[in-house]
Amino acid sequence: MLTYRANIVLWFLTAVVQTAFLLYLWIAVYDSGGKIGNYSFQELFTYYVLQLIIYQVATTFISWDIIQEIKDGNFSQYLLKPVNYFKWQFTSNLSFKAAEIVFSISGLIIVVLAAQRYLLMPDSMLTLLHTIVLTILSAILAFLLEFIIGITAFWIINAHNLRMLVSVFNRFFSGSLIPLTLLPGPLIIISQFLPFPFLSYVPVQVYLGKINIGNAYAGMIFWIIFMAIFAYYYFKLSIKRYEAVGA
Amino acid sequence: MSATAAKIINMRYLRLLKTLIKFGFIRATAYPPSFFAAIIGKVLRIGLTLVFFQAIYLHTSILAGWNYSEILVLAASYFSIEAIILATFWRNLMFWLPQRLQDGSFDSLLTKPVAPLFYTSFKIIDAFDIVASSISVVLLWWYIFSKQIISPSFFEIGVFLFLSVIAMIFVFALLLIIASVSFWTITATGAGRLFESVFRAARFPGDIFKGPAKIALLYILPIGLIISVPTDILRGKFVWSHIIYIFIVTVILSIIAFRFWNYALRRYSSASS
Repeated sequence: MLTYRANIVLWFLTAVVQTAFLLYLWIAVYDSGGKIGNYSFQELFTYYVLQLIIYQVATTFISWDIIQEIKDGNFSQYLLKPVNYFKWQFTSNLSFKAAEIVFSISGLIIVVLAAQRYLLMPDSMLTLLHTIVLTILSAILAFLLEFIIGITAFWIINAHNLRMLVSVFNRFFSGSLIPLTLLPGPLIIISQFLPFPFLSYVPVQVYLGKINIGNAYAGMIFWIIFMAIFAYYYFKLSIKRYEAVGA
Repeated sequence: MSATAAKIINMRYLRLLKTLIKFGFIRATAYPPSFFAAIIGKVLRIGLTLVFFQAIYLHTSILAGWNYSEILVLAASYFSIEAIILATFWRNLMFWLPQRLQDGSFDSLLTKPVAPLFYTSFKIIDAFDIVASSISVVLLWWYIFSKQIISPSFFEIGVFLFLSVIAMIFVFALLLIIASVSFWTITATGAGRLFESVFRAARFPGDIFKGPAKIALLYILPIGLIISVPTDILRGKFVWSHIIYIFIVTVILSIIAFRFWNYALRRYSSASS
């Protein structure tokens, strides 16, 4: 990953730019006399900064790698080697995350120094700790989701478009565009039955004190267990169906 | 070059483009489940963007001087132009070219009897975007005109179309400059993603930006204007200073882009062994 260091920085800048545009949009809403639900401007600013950091830390793109490996026929080697493919992907992802966390924390420090008067501090160290723990759990959930999407390539040879479809839902229902409580009512209801809010929205809401911590943990652990069990049996079934493609 | 020869060459490139579009559709429909997933995904992306704007307007009636109906027109303009850009040269310049430079297969392109710039820019036509975006965009324009949100004259529609083409040329020139850097850096994926996120600023009214962002996005690189100015035409607002400015910037940027591309091509030495 560090081979193309400029790309890492550019990807991080991409997320910063997207967040900055959203903040400009909300500033314009406040200037127009709008009232954003039960969010003060400080809360909204903090929300987007934390969303940026947590989303960057939690998000992974292993589904792309898995789909390519299956599509190119390179997956077969993992069946021959004494390697558990899930553990292989998990540990590879961990090393990737380590580099991302460094960049995310660096970015966070810059933002804190530049815009500290707009940022809300957590009401206690315990809240901060819960946010960090939930972020770690959301990274695990994100990995499981990506793994499941990736192994769908056993069933649909060109699964990139399915991946894109899921990422559209992910981007929207993780709250990275807009806090979920600000959506129209039916969409708020739909979001409560999806795992995507737990990828970044829930940890941020815990930090802001807008969600019950017990409910946050309960939901997160439920989705992790559900996805883990689903991934296990789905992978077993997919391996049986596997047909090597490519040269 | 005689007029006849120029006409023959132009017809050849049109036929080539038609063939590339046909290949794009064949490639896209090779895996039907994937094709339909892409269509749904792209339609959803546009739909959720509109939901996003709707959510904003639940909390305000005016955003930088634009009401919700006008924002729909801005969104329709943005997605119309974005659809053509994404379906044609965007991915070719931002992702396909760096990949070919990295694995050395770009060399074979240079041996073909076709202008490298043309082939590089239009090699892969994304049929998903053509189909999916067309559905969403047509529905959105149909909604706008059926509700009579705007009632432009033929002249205003003509100016809108002209400025939309200018916007596409502007984006093409910018992407060409970024893509040309790939000849030295080999990979430009990160730059492509960054530009994609910057281009998305064009979805919003330019007036939301303040300070350095305003200077950067409205004056230095007028991405904040390239969609909102054509949209203003449909709203019956002609801001001639913006129109002339965009036109001049696009011409200058295009000259720089083509020259830089040719320079990069002349300096290119193969990456293959």
